Amino acid sequence: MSCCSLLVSFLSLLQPSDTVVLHGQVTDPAGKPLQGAVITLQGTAKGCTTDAEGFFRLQSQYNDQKLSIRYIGYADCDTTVAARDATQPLKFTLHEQRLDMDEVVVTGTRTPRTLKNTPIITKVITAAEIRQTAPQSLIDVLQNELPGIEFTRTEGVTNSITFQGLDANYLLILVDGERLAGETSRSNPDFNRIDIDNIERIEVVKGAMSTLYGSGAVAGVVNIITRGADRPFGAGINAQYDSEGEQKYGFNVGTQLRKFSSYTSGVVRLKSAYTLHDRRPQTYYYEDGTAVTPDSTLSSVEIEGYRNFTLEERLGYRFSERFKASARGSFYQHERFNAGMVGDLKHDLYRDWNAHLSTEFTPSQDNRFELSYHFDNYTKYDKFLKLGETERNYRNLIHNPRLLFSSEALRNNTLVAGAEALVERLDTYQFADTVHGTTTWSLYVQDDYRLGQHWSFQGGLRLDHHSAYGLHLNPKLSAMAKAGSWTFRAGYAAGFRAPTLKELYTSWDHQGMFELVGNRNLRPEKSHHISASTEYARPSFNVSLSGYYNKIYDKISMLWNMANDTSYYANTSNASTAGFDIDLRARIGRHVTLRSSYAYVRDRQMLRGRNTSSTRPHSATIRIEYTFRIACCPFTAGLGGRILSKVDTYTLDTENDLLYRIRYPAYSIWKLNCSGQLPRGIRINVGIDNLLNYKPDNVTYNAGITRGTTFFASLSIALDELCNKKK
Amino acid sequence: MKNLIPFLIVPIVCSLLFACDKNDDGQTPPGIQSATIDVRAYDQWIYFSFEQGLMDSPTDPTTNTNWDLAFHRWDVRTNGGASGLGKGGAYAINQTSFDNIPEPDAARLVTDEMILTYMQTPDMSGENNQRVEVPANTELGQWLTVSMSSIPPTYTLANNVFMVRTADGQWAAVRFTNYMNDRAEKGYASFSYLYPIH
Repeated sequence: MSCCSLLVSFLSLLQPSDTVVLHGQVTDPAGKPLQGAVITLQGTAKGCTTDAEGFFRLQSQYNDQKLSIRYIGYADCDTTVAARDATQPLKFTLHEQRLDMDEVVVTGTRTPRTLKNTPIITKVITAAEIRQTAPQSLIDVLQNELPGIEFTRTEGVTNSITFQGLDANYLLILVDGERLAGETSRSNPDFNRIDIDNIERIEVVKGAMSTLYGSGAVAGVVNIITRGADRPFGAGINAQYDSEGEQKYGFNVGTQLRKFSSYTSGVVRLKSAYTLHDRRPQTYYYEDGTAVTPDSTLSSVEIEGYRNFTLEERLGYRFSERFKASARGSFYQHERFNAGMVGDLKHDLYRDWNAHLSTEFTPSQDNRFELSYHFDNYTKYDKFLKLGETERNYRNLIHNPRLLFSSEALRNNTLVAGAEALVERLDTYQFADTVHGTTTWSLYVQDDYRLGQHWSFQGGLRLDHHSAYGLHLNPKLSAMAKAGSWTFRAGYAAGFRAPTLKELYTSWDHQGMFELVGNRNLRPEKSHHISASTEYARPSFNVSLSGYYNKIYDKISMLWNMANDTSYYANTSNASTAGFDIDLRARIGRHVTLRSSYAYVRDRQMLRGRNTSSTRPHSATIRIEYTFRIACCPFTAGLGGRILSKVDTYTLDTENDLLYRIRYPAYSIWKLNCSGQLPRGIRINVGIDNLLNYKPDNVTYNAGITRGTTFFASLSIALDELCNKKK
Repeated sequence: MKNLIPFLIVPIVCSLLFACDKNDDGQTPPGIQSATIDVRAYDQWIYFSFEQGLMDSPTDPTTNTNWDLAFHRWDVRTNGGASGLGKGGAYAINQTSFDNIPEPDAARLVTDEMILTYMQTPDMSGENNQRVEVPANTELGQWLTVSMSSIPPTYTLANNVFMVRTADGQWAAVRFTNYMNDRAEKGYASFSYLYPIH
């Protein structure tokens, strides 16, 4: 349809046409005129604003015209005025902007559901919200929006994730519902792989989701939904630069025709390496009242720099109304280096390429089959600069074919059933000259049954057969009740984490000092997750409170043998975490929006009556945005912050057999920025990050990784709008 | 055509950004030599002479006066004091370049004395974790500082020049340049030296 109108306007360019004055009125649904609404001819700088009675006059060419009508606090209106109507008075009705609960999400059910009807609370981070905060990486996005998530530097690993007191093993990161192969270290996925300009939205579901997603979905799932083409022709470029020299350059080109669509995107990112230094030595406070500062020299950590790029292509073809197919693939390379002497000799090189093929068959309106195959190949290399050699030391492969069936054929039921295989291969220097692999076969089913207008119930079951430990059954049960603006949810979900290939098969000698060995008899870690939540949603106000308790059994950790020369993996301990979250979104008047989240985590890892957990119990994120106009152009100024509470953690000094306490102080990081949408598809964003110049006293552990205040600017240009030469 | 400019700018900018910096290896002044010693072993000392270069281990290093320096992990010996019968010793000077090396000053020499070090690969069992007393030069031992207070440990190179007296009383200027080989593996002591100093 939009394709036809483009054709019409294209044809009309070929013949001379007279000008016409478009005129009319803009009102709200009650008929009240809206003063100061901006009407622009799309793709041009031409526009006008409405007067006190909501009337406007705008000179235009005598042909089909695409108009944008914008009014702060009201939903955008984009419409085409046919040439034959151009002389008639036009009437546009704008609706007050609402907090969108009709948004479609997929993570909770593996099928599209509206946010308000999804059986599990799903937090959505939209592309607009991401763009507004001008993040540099996925890590920025998640930290800015999710309290309870922290990326710190732990034992030499940059960007180690902790979520609700649990590490990367317990939070499953997916891209379009698919797993990522490979880890940078300690089970942390390579967050740099994600091109943030290519994100349509991020769906975050807290709690065990193993029934649908299998191993690792214990504390939650972060599902990154990527973007496709949405116009007959669209293209854009963007650039971002900050005062520390961090840079990002991206492009995209897309086309959406009647049957065929294509979207190509790429990004290049650069960051220089630097060294962070302790500002004060760490002090250990012993139980007997003595305070010890064990090493008088200040510690420092090397924060790696990088050069990387991602290139992605996705193709879609609609054979008929009932049958469509899609393919996507991407290539990623990340060269990481540090500022010290090692950086002159050796760089770490990470490469990934992946492919995803999918066909969707909809025999009737109520039934849908999806057959897909996902492949991901992640490799790591050492690049020796002086020797000019590159040597591979790690390769992780995933093959993941899946058949998914969803049906609404049974009245009041939404059924999802799937069968899949997950084949994983790992080749690493920590294995003794062999490649190891596991295969998991899975069957799962989840049904959502609605009883009357107020109640719905969900039940799910997953059966896995893992090549190392055999069968495992994973159930889930929950209920949802709606009454007016209130929604209540409660449920139980089992979760599990299969032992990783490293945990099963490692065989590695650490320079003759000790050996690390895997354990082929490991069982999966299992968890019980119970949660309850209540949500209150109004058009301009939305708040939710949810609490959870998570108990993990048979946690896999490393033990030392009797001779103390070998460390091996074993199912040893149990752990539990509990906490609650509050999420709030509000529109205050026409101009202001507020979103804020708070998370409390109770993580107790007791030793002689003292807590050894270093999880910060309280954390919060907040963002306030104010939208205004300069001339015809909408601008948004935003202030965002994340606030983390202090934590006291105890450690055992094995030499003296005494506990000592370390305090990690509270901190907050704030970002102030202003973005504007200029005519002709040009968008700018400037701001200040880490406004209060937070710098941790101790940088080696449990501190934010930051160099202090930085300034940034970004520019993006929609080329299709820029090139549109309507006079 | 004007609208194509952004299409052109992006690849050009990107290619500029990807262009590597050329590695500026400073000109080595004439007469300066260099050596790299594999010091990975915990259980042996590697002997070096400014005349002969790398040497076979002497049968009795304490009486042999052919060697000038010996290396074990990050420890260094000179042939003098507690280590040998030679005239060896060393002291640090406050400069990082071989230009304008000052007159050697025998009064500042630090000679070898007993230090504690691991002579076996330390392991986690505790049995091999005993450090033993061996002679070494504490002044030269400052060429590298290893801080275990963070994981992974941090290595800091002193980078200054040391004045070294050889077994037979000649003088050399030595500057350590690296603790890694070209594969960034630790346990290789690289140094540049000017010998003899007249």
